[in-house]
Amino acid sequence: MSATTPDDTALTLAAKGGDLDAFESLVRAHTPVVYAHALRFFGDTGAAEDVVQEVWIKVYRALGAFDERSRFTTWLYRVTRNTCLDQLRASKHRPIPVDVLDDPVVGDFADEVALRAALEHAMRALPPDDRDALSAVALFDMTYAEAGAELGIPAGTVKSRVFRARRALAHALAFPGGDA
Amino acid sequence: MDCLDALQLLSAATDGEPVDPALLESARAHCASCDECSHFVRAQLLAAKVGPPAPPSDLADRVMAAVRAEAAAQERAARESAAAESAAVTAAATASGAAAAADVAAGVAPTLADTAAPATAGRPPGPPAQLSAARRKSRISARDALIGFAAVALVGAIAIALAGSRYILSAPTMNTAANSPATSGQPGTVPEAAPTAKSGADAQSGGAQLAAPVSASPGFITVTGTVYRADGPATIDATTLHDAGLVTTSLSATEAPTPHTVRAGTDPDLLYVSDSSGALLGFTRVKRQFNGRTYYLTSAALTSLDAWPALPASVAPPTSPDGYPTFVQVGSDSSGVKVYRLSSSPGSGDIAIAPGSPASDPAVGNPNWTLWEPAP
Repeated sequence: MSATTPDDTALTLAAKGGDLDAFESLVRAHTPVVYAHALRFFGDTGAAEDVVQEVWIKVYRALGAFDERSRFTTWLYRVTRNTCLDQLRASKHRPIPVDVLDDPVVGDFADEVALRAALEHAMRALPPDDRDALSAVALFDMTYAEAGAELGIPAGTVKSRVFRARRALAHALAFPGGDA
Repeated sequence: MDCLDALQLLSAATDGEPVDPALLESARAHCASCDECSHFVRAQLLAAKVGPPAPPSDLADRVMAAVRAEAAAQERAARESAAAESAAVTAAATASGAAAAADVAAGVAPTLADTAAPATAGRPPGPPAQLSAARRKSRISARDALIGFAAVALVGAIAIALAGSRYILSAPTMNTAANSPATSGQPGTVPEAAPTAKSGADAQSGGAQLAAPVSASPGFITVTGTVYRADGPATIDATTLHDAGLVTTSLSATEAPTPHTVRAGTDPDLLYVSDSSGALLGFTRVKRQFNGRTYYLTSAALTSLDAWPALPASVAPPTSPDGYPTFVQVGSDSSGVKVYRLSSSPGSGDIAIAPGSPASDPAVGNPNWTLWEPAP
């Protein structure tokens, strides 16, 4: 989804040198994953947009301290996750409980809108730890080892959480998977 | 292979993790014949097909508007701060009534303006916390350098006049290193600061830092590409040292480049070389800090003690004061010295420093761009 590319490295270096156009390219390339993570965290589009704004301002301010030893997307994931948690702690936004959401549309998944609604509902219903791991790997394109380092857990645990999340999504979409 | 194993394997493969191809094939075969597992696979495919929720189409525009506003505010604050500092310096100079100080300030004011202008007018404002701070620090450094330069020059002249002898002060010729243009310095003299700084630094696009006077090299050698600075005669017990290779250099103005045995003790940053009289000369590895890491100064081979370290032959000197096209600025260190990386291989880990770094910097006085490699 949001793999760091050679372009990211060049754009990051240029942005560090004061090139706002390069920074804008980073914003446009990676805003979708930041937004998706935040939306799945809070379940509210307004909160997600606030998170996106805050994340990019933080990135802009701290860009000089980013030393390229990790991938840009790994750093972006860290900033995004921390911003969501910070806003939660500061009570700026609270996640909308999943059980008060409308029932997801189910059944005809040939309809992309219905499928997306069901998928996002299932994403919101995931345990936060599993969703974090899935977001790191599937949205921010981190390896299990990178995600484990960011989340402070072993890579094997990331693997387990990602699989558990995927299986839960499959169940929620009425596609049962696995027997354990 | 059971369902759980098959799905875990497919999940890991989906995430790009290395899996055994034979096991993966078994998992695929299992899924093809298992309804539950094939449903799982279909679910993943559908989820991949719809992708994550898309943000509003104007969200990136709103983000950039906020970023640009922040950049502009920071830029204004930096300008106001610089103006205040400039006014303070002018007031101090006027109050002192020191004619010499006033002359120095008047002569260098255009240099300050020239240095600041490209960074603020030619490009959008950069990350404010870093760039603005760096500019402020640069101006502070410049002011300090101006005030200090007269004193340093005076002390230096007295020292040179009084110094009787030894090798470092005996051959104050200017840089002869690989990427340095010819300079106007003559053996036995200390070149005039401003003209030499221009001919040395500017010709190499060295205006990235504030122009500093070029002085005689304190004496350097290179050992396996790493630069060591001369400390002068050493008093260490030679029997505690071991041979650590050879360095070919001239240790005095009259000596041709000659192989000298390099000796080392227990401190990996210290080396010793015997001169023609058998006396030990000490050398210390030249290092700097950036972003919490230590970097060693590297250089093209230096065959004369009075040569300044220079870029390795494989690195072309920049053609522009901002390092273009060889380097791109990546930030500033804690002293406000601008730090660059190679444009061609930014991931190499090496950093570069422009000529003209301030007196507190390990590259002080060097009219060349320098390359620094991370310490192992």
